[in-house]
Amino acid sequence: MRRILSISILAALVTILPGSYAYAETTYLGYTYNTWDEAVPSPAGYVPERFYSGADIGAGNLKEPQDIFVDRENEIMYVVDSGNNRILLLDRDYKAFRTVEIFTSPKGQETLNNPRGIYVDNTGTMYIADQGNSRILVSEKNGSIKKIIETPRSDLIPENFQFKPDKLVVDKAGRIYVQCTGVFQGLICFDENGSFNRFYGSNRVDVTVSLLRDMLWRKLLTKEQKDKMIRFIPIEYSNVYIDNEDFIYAVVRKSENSNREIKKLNALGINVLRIGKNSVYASSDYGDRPVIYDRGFMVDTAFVDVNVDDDNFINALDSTRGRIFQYDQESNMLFVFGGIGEQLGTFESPAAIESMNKKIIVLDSKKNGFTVFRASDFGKLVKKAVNLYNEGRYREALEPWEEVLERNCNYELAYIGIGQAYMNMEKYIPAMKNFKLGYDKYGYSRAYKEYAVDIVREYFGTIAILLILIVVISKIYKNRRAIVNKYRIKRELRKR
Amino acid sequence: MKKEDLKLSIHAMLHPVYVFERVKFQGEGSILLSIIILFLWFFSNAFSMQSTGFIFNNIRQEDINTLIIFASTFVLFFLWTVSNWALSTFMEGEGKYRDIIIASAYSILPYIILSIITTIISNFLFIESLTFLQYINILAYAWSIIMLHAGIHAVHQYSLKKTVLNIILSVFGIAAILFLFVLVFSLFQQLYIFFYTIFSEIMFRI
Repeated sequence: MRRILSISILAALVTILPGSYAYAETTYLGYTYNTWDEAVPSPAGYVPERFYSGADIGAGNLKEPQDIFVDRENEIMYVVDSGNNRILLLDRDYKAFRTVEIFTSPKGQETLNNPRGIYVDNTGTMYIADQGNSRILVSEKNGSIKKIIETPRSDLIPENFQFKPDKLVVDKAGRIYVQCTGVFQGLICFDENGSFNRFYGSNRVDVTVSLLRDMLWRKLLTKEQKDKMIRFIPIEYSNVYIDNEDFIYAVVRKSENSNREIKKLNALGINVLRIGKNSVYASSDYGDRPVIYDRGFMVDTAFVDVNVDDDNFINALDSTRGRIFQYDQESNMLFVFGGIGEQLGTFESPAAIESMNKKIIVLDSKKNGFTVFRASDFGKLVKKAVNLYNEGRYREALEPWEEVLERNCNYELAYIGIGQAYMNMEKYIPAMKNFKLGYDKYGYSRAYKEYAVDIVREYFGTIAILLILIVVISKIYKNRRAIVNKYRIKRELRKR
Repeated sequence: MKKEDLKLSIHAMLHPVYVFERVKFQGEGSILLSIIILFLWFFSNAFSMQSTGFIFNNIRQEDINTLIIFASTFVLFFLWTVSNWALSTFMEGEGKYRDIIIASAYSILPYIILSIITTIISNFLFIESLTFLQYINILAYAWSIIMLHAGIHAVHQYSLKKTVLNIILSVFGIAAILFLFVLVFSLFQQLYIFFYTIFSEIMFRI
């Protein structure tokens, strides 16, 4: 009796006492997708660190902020406080050290009206999408205006075009790429003088069942009837980001086929974002994979912003479910975190995403502030392993991958990484085993082929000798009569 | 089942029209062997689902369901023969139900043999030989369909056109049978609910 009592007390103590195991408190569940497109629970890759409101950064209340930008070299963060028509400059500790409200030019003073987006180049020149005034302001660090870009004029642009710049990026040559509300031809590209250059990286029309049906109808109808039909136009981008190699990342809010929602555009406007062939994790369906219909409407991930961090990982922000999806450059999904809600780490209306000092910053336009996330131990491990793997240093990646598996044995990417490491060490049997666990058929086939070659090389001598022996013995067996006769004749000859 | 039946079924793979004419006019062939072939079909399907090499196996092992394999072999075969027999009476076919069973079952044989062969060799091949396996698979289907065509042709003494029409209509016949089955099933369910409500109502009043 006493023993039972003591054991139960011990058990109670163990449950009450904080465990020595490391665990991350998150208000959301992390997950990844397996080979069969099922969501599998996974430890959170990122954990929320703190929420910063306007008061926390020392700049009064924010009002529907729409965009943030991080100047990584100088570690300055720019917040576009759209409702208050101002730009806030924050230092690395997220304290506002300057507010830009009034811009000066030789002609007089200018103010903003519902600014939506900002880009700052490495000299500190600010490019602001001033949507309410239908213009783009280019201003020096101190607020003196360099240039104002008004509604573009070109044969390609209709007369009654409403210029509503939303988000913008600037490449190293000074060309400005603007995503405008209501423009489906792609991004509007201005040259360095601020005159219209071209449309850039336009989307294609999604081929859907209703499109095919309408195409069939179009063959039968008259011109008047055709004009009354709905026009199928390509989807417009929702946000853009430019990395330091001048690749432009663009996301769309909704794609009918739920396909290629994130694009990495090269100078010609062609999507060059790779989809890892060998990996089961990679899919051209970014965001959540299952498509759900709610009262006839498609509910799918709607990306509102994209960002690429220092290690070239792509973070995409989803407004439907408030989730952040992190991908590597091979489109392998690494983590999902965030959600819709009230608690720390969840959002009401996520608007923009940026990364600074290995942390991810997500701006919420309804909570009027931003949340800072840091990578958890698990997240750091995975990122380290993926980086080594993608650089081709498979052997060094072995150890981090094994640690990843200790924390999450459902992480299929880790098995593939380990398989590749063993493959490089010419240990084909464990390589095959791990590729199988990671459902990597191509990797398995490669390892199996090497293994088969090894087997053949090892036993070729034995097999060849055996074959020769069989041939010789069968030859002898066939001609046994003749041989026996030959010897008999010899013997008889000798007798004589 | 005699040894000749086995020989005949193998012979049918190469000379289907000749053999199926003999089945019809000389009463050769065996129902027992047909049932054994069906069992083989069932097992070869299960075997190829389970034991195809990892590289070529696209089926999730947890999802393999014996009942579904049963439905896609035995039940499908039964529906096919019934539908074909029913249709052939409309279309002046001369075949007996026995002949249809034997002709249909013997036609599955090349598919079974080739699928067992591909399953075994898929364990020793690399991913580059995927097309090779696909070709064998197509060959297996084509062979079986040609044999089935010859079988229906011989059993019912149809012309070529009519045979094709008969086969296509039989497939629709299977759909019709399934539809009727679902209809009857739901009707009986309604009936059951009706009597159950009356029963519970009476019990409630008493």
